[in-house]
Amino acid sequence: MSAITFQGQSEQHIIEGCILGDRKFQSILYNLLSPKMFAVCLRYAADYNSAQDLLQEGFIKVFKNIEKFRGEGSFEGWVRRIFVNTAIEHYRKQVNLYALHDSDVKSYEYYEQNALESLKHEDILKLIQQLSYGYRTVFNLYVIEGYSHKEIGEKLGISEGTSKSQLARARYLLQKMITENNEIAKHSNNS
Amino acid sequence: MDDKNIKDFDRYIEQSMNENFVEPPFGMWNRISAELGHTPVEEVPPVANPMLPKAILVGFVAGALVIGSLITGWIVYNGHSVNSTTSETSVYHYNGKQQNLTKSAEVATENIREEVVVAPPATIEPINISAKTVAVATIKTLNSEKSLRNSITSGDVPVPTQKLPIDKESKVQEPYYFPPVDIDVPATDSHSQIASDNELDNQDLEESKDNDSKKLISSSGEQRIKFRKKRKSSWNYPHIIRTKKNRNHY
Repeated sequence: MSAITFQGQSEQHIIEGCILGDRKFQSILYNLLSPKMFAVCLRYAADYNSAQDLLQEGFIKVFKNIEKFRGEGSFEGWVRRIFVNTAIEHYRKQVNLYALHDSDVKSYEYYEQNALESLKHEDILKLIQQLSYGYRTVFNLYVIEGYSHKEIGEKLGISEGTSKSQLARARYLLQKMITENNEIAKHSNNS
Repeated sequence: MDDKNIKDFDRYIEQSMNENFVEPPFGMWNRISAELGHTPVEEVPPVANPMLPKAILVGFVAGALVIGSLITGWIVYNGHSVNSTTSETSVYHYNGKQQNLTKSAEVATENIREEVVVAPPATIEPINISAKTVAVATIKTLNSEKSLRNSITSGDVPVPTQKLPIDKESKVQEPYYFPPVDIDVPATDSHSQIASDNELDNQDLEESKDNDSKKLISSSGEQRIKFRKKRKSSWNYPHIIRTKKNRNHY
């Protein structure tokens, strides 16, 4: 367990306070982890308001199940997994993912790495939110969270091939959007 | 080349997402805190055991019977004991009273015995008294005779100093003669005589009132001072003259 401290309180002390249901320690933990977890929620959610709902639902799950944390690994990683699972459960019943035939699509042919580097974090986040649920979820799980296609398939209830095709399609669409956004920015600067 | 571009793309996005954080909107903690404060407690589903309610009912009924029997037994025992104690106490009190009565009776009998010992029986007492008195009288007469003789011998005039006791029985034994009644003289009524006496008293009082004095003269002639009660002063509240109010003032 990482020995992080916040407002003079050690992580273990904060966790023990949250287990006892002390509202003060719960507030400390929220202030410590909410920016990171809200970024996660924004990636999985379609918009800002949905991300707020995910944040609330995720923290309630954390506070209710915090006594189940065994101290194995990072506490922040444990909380992050809860938020990711919450986001997946939130959208699982809404959309049925299906396998794409063009799973061998690799990348957008006009994509340039410089176009991505010119974008800010908020811009990239907005582009990710524009993806559909399936593409967005598989892309987040594979690229940002580091899950394998097998694990993604188990979490989402899909096959590995479907996860791969969804990821390839999500990557292609993102590169296309980044390229188009970069060209629009170039035209606006020239004019 | 394509794989390298893909890896670079993924790494750049992953780095950008993990290094940059987004502050949640103000008020999110209040929402979460409120949600935590009103989280309903998960109800534990009841155990599906059909025998449990019957067992509980049987146990409850058995317990109620046992407790009821115990309570009734206790009440009956206590009621009996209370009655018995009351009766015993009453008997005891009665016995005490009886004892007191017997004691008082014994004391009374003792007193009576003492009295009996001291005094002769009531039936015999007057006879004895009369005998005693007769004996005393004879002794005193003898003494008086002796004293008379002595006084005569001494030359003094004999004067009887003591009255001889009158023998009642001898008086009773003597026949009673009614006084002679003269038929020509009308008999006086005692009631009419008392009324005449009262009239005389009233006349005396009236005479004293006329003299405007507090001294009263009774029928016996003795002066009596009678304190009169003070007359109540006939003071009244001043008369309040009320005038009729003009109704137009309302």
